[in-house]
Amino acid sequence: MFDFYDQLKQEFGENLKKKDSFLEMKLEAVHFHQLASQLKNKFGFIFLSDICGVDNKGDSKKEKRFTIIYHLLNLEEYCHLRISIDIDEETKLSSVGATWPSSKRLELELRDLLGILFDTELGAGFLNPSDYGGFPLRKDFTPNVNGPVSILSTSFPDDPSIDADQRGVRSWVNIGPHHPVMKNNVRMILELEGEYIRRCQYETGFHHRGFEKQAEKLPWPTLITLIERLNSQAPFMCTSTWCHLIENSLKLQIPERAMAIRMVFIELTRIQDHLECIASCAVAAGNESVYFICQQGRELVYELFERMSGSRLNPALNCIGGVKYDIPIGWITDCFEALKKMDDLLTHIETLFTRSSIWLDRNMVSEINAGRALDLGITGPVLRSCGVNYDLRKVNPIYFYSDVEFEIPLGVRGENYDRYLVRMEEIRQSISIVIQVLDNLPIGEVSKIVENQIPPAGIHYSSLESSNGELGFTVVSDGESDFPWRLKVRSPSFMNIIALPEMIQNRLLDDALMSFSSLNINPGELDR
Amino acid sequence: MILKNEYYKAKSLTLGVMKSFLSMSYNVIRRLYGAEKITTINYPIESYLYSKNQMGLPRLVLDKKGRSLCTSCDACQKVCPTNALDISGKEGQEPEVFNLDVGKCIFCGWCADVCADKAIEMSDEHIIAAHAEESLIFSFNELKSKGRRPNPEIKNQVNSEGMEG
Ligand code: SF4
Ligand code: SF4
Repeated sequence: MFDFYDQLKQEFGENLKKKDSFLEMKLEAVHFHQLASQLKNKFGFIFLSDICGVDNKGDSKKEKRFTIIYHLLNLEEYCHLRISIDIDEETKLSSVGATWPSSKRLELELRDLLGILFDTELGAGFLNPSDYGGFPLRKDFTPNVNGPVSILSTSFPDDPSIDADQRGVRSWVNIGPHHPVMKNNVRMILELEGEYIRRCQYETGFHHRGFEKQAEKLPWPTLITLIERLNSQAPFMCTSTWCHLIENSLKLQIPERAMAIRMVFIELTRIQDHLECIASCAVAAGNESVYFICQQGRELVYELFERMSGSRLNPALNCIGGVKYDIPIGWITDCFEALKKMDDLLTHIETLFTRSSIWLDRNMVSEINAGRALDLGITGPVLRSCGVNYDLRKVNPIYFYSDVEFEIPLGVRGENYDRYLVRMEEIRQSISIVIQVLDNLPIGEVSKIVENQIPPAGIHYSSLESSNGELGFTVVSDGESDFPWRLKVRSPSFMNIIALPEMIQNRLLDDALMSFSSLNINPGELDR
Repeated sequence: MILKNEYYKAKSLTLGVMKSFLSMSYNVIRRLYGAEKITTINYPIESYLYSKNQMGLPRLVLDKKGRSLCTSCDACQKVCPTNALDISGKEGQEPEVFNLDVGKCIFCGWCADVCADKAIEMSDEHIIAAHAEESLIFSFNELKSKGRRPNPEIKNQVNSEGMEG
């Protein structure tokens, strides 16, 4: 790390600052665009994890209208570089899509929601139609409720590589937005030639709640209730990330017992979410029995949540400074029992699925290769199924993750089947983590009272390995007001879905839904 | 840990079918005749009581004489993330208006957490249905009687042990 830091220091000099575990740099827009390929190729920042745009209107300390924050990651050194660029309203930003392909969707979001200008044509947006009349994330935005809004057009342009005859054979199929397997509202439009998918488009935004805008209107302490509702499958992950962010920014040490309890519930949530994903793959393949086995497993976890806090889906268990409730008497025994039952269920699923020739035949499709996955900003089990060993629990361990023993399963080919195997193995590892933590549960109090929950002025980022991948929050605070200035979610589903069209191209129509399910896209997280 | 290579080799079809069949029939038999036979309960007359922490409808806590402990301090209204509470009254006395809009309430429990007098708490009542939006707004007097099950004796009989795995 030190050599690497020195190298960077030599190159960028005083510009580069170290803040906690992050490196920070302020650049000019033009300058960054020139440096982009150098940062990627020479310094190994191959991963662009997020772009966050901030509107500074009304902030007297900032001269320019917008601040754009790029989050770059060097996976080998685990070095997180944050580049902030101040631009005027008229300045045109250059797209870095040529260097980091994952930036395309993020840049579209900047253009549509914040009105940042780009000097190249980015293509059709996915959230706002062009005549929407305003940019929702700007501070001076007033919604025009009654204005006409055209529907986003989703259609395929003519494919130049084929002639008119071939074009005649192609047909379009529309799947979704409401579909039993999709468990969320995403629309897929497929261009078929016979049974084969030639092109694919997806339409998102059906579940858009204006999450980031709403967050600017909620005071710091109660913001956690909104955060909890980001992802309906894994609410505990969201609140844990959030609490970790606030506690980190306030330099607050939470009690050890609270850390352990959080770890237990994070892993239980992971088990539950992975089972949900396998269940939906099973339904897509037409296998109802595995679906019900998985639901039984989820029920076990939900029961544990309900016994702990009284609520199943949104446990409301986390609070800044720890967790709200201590583990009730008898809960630990129940948990061990549930995990034992869970183990039986997993063996059951394995008997039916792992190495079964039908499941293998249907799932050895939709390959993503490792390089492409990194380019597209994919994280989580999907990335690990391609063989990339990147898990935040290992590279940046928080709480007691460095003390427990567990392994990171890595796939070989990046196919649906690998994703299934990786998830199965991760469930087993999570079970082992829960058992280890419960065996060595520290004693003491479970929460600290935190009077001031406002993070100090500045940019804060914190992330956690959620069940879909790296879930992170970028928060801009001015240090005194009751509301966050800006909250940006780095949601894994938002990035993972980019891979979909490439995955299912030239595959059978049957495979489309299974590949989609294997990505485990969550609607709330996807559309925010 | 790289996944083992043999996971990728298909089992012989006959073996696979046999194994699946055995595993399925084992489960069917277990469900029909085994200890896990009963999987349902007579809800809502009985219900599971998982924990003493509840996340249902917020209810008012009453003292022995049936008066509310609320002192109209307004703390819960300020903290409520969805503005579901509407409270007014002189501080130190019972509130004149205390409306809870259950259509807005997300059962987050914050009101119960901030109340210094412990005048409001979360109950285990989840079955709230109405046919008009206005009937989802509960007034002070309604809230006094809400959140209490009609037959409190029955509810604890079944606990999570009877639950199917
Ligand atoms: S439970 Fe939450 S949403 Fe409902 S009234 Fe209380 S604070 Fe408001
Ligand atoms: S319920 Fe509690 S917090 Fe709310 S006004 Fe009454 S005393 Fe105050």
